[in-house]
Amino acid sequence: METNLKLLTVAALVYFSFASITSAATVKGKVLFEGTAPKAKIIQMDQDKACLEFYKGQDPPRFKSLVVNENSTLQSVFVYIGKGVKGKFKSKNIVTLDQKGCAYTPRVFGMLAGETLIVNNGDKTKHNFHLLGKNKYNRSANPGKSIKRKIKKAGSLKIKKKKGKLKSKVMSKIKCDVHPWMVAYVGVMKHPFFRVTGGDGAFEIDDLPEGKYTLVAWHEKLGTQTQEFTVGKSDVKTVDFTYSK
Amino acid sequence: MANYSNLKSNSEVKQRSYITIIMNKIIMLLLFLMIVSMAFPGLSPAENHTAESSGTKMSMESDKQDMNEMKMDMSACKRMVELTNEAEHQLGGAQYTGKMPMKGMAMKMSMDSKKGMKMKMDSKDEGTKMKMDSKDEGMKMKMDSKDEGMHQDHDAKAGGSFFMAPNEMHHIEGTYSEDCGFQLFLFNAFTKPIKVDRFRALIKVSGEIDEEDVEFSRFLSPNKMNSFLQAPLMKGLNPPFEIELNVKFPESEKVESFNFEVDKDGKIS
Repeated sequence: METNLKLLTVAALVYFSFASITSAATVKGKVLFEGTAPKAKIIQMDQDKACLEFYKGQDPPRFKSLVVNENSTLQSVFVYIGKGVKGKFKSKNIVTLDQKGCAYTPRVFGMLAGETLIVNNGDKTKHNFHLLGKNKYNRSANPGKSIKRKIKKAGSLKIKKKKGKLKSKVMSKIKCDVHPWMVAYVGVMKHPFFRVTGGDGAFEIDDLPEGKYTLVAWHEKLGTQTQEFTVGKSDVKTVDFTYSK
Repeated sequence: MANYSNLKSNSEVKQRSYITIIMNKIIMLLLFLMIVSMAFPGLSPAENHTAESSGTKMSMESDKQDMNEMKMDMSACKRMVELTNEAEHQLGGAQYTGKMPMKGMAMKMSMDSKKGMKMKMDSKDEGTKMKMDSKDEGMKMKMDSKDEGMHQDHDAKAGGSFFMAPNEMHHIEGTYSEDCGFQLFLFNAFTKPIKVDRFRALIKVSGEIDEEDVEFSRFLSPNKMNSFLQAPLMKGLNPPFEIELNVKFPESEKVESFNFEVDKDGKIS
């Protein structure tokens, strides 16, 4: 009898915890690009032999500020929930940014405020990790060394309108003062509901409680777009963005 | 009349005796100086000047032997820095009168352009030539004459942490030691040391004293020879700690920040 009760309790717990997980909603979609994709420009790295050496025997390095995928979607778009998220979120995760081939990888990424950022220099040349914005930080990055930094302050989720264009304030620029083509962007967030589009231009943000939200898409060259959506328990909502040039 | 001649002869005697006294004093002084210089050779006026400038040398024609001797003084707080007029006349120096750099020029980054497009820029007054040439693989850019060698050297010169300034005109290096505190060296675009009195700098230090968090600020002040800026840190502050350096460069109102970490062994990075 006691054994049966225990089994029932465990089964109930499993059921309810599973139910609570599946009751979370999801928003997913794609970031589409309309028009002719411009040919990416070549970066001349003649001045720094170490940068040049890295690409020996490879295709010359190109700017990645606007990368259109084969399926006419966009890479490196930061998609996040702007309005509607309640509660406080904490994480002790470590996020990594690599400096290799005199370029940042990833070019666009997100992290929760309070997480630690590790910046590796895999190059045979000196860089400097220069983070602008609320968490301003500028450290010399010697070859083969890493920089560890806790990123404390979240960016503002407010969207402003300037000269008819929407401006997201959540992104901070990262640059290297030695190699001016080296640029990356980090979205330091108050919550974990964000994604960055990759080679398929798709994103999927899950574990959303039911509610009304504003979804924001940010691209470093093409700007900011927003869309509102509402999800109920266990809903899967599709929201696509379209940029053009 | 006789009285008058007596008076005259008296004054002559007095004059002669004064001259004798002065001459004697001069001879005594010279003898004293000779004895002193023999006993303490390091204090002779010429060498005293070198000792004073053991931290700095400001000369276009430097005595190589002297320089080598002075370079051996790198470990002391009075670091050897070779300031030259040439460096002050180059981009980033106090006497530079040429054009300011274009953003992104430092690494001669260039971009694709339409096939066949050619561009040439020639600044005769500065002796700077710039050529742009576009082929299939994009635009190539060449700079010659005075700008050659600019931003080629990004190695630390005093064992500290080295940065290229965002203004592309200067380089900086920060060092730390328990005895000397924080020292800041400034370089021109060619990584040659320059005088520091045109720069304003402040450090904010965050660390622990007796397991209590402390944060304090210090303005950096130039040493006698204007070869570096320095500030002592708080007594009892033991590594590890962080230093945020804020520098106001002379060409701009903007203050630029640079961050350093001093690890538990006292090494700055």
